[in-house]
Amino acid sequence: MALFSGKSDGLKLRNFSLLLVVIGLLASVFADVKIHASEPWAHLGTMLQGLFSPSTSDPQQLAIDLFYTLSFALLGVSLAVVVGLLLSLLYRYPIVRFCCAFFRAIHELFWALLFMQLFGLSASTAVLAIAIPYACTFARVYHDIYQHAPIKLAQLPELADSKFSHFLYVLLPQVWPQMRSYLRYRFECGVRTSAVLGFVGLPTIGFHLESAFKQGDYSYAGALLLAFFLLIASIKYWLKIYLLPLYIAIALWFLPTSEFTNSSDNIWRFFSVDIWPAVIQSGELSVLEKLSAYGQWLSSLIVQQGLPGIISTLLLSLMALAGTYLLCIILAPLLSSMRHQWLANGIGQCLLLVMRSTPEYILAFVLLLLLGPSMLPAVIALAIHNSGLISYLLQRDIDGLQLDTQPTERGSFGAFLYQIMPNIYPKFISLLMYRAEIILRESAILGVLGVTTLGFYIDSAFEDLRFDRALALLVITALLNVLVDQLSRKLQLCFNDQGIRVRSKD
Amino acid sequence: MLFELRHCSFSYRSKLVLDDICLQINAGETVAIVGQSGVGKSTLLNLLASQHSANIAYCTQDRQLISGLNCYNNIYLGKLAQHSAIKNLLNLLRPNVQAMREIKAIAEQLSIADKLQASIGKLSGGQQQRVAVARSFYQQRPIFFGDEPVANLDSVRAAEVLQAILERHQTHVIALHDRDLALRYFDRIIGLQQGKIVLDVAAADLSQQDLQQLYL
Repeated sequence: MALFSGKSDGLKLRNFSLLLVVIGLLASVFADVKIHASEPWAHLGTMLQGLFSPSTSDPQQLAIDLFYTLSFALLGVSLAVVVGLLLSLLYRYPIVRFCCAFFRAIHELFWALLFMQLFGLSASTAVLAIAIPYACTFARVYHDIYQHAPIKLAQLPELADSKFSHFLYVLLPQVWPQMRSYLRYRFECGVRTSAVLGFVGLPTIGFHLESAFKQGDYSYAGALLLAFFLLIASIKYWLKIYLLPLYIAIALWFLPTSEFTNSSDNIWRFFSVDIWPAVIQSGELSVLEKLSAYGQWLSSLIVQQGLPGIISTLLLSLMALAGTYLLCIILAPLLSSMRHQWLANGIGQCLLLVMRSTPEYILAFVLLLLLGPSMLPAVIALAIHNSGLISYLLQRDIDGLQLDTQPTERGSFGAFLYQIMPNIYPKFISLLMYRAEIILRESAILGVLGVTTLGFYIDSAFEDLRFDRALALLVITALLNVLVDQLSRKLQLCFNDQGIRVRSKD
Repeated sequence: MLFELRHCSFSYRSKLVLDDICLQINAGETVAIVGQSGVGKSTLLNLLASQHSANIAYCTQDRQLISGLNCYNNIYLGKLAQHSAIKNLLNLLRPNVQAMREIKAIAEQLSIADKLQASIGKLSGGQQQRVAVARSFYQQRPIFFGDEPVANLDSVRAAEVLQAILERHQTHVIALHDRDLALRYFDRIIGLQQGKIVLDVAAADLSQQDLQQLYL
């Protein structure tokens, strides 16, 4: 952070923003960002025509897809919140903190690929794939929320010995509204994740979405997407905490049954044999020889797949970060000027809803079909989703600003540049840094679609049934993510002494 | 002797808050600490409280009420550490019968019995203050420390609450602004000015005019 020390806040932010864009542009020199499709615009036209005339011949199937998408999200998030709550109470221990960071860093799709080896394409795979990383996210966010509880109750110092009672009576009642609001938000994320799980074969809306796009049935894809957006937009109306037990009971009762069975021997073999390289399973070698053989195996894997995967993942992340920044800079004045005309404002808000509600994975999949196989679709997808989310959060801040300007002038570009921008820019950069970790996590997973990031090598290892390689690469991906998370947190603090509390909005 | 400070000074962020304080308080005394805002009354109370914290029911100025809990549970909080975690959990689901009986008696004395189920946010400032006092009553400790415990109450109600405080405890150390209450209800008055004790005499030997000097 020495680059920014000793400079005024404005200069620091300007230099950092320039650096971000320059690094993003430099990354694009080394990455494949060409358009490989022959007629992308014509294809886009056909696709949009279909998407804007949604229709389905099988509404019952659509309803079942939606129900399973919701059920997996509901059960996964419910399990995650219980485990996350317990972990949040232990989060002060470094080992819990590290384990949470590590498990959180592994994307839900990777968890799904892993659990599919054990439970097949079943509800257990979907629920666990959502529950594990989400539990770790709940632990961190809830722990952060506890830190900001207004009353620490110094009046009753003896309560320090009865932590559970202290939690029940002092902490929980104070932070419950924030925890409930975060649970609601995470459920929305859970629905998006559940949809994406369909892309690896689980029976959610993503499964038929993928088929529809691949078969060119864009009207059906449009119907699926429309139903998905309506589902996301309606969550706030029907998701009530007191109704959760009823929803959970219904979800459990109607869960899809799977014919996949796995014996306990197979599960044991998976953990004791399959995920370890053959070189260390030879009974004839001594411990030292095994370690040496493992070292050689690992270094060869890192050189052949780990490093190329890391470089591609980082290049994609840097380009996506710069793309997100540029798109936000374009969107902010545009949305701000539209704010005072009801029709334009409505269109702007719908646009933001679509941008932030569409999972990056689905966007990247559609763009890959349009633009052909390169990093460009992934960059655009990440930039669209993340700028949609950041712009939405910034809009809320802009609405809360107390400006001196006359209401009639508030939509002007001058007012935006001189009054709004200086107020929101530090928060904007902090949000961007916060999203850096998530962008990296998503960059890795987009490899499943064919971009040669770490996810590509992990997916290939799963396809080849090389679980030893898959696990080692998953560990490398998680560690890279933990590292970038630490760096982005430091950068956030560099621009904002208090850090930001928007970390609860990932 | 219950409390003792010898040549004690205290600074906060390099600002001297208490300057060379020498003080002794015996069991059974009723002591009022008076002085302008910011002279160090709260700091002096905190320093004294640290000497016998386990025996002190301390009603702090910020009340420390938990907004998400109702009035009954805010009072119950006073004895939280004395009950088992299971009992505390069950009490949240259904109020403990014995605790409810005790708390109701306290609430009746402080005229907030009809507010026990109300959430703290819906109470007036005066009612919230009485909930904070009720919590310290529920602790049933021999010594009462109060930092402006009746500041938000009208004069009649303030006198009632102060009377109840005096009845329920053996030793009292209370910081307050109201000079009339200090003279009427306390045996000994300690006056602070710029972090120093400038007055430490029996209340009977003082008049309103004498106390007025502290506020000039």
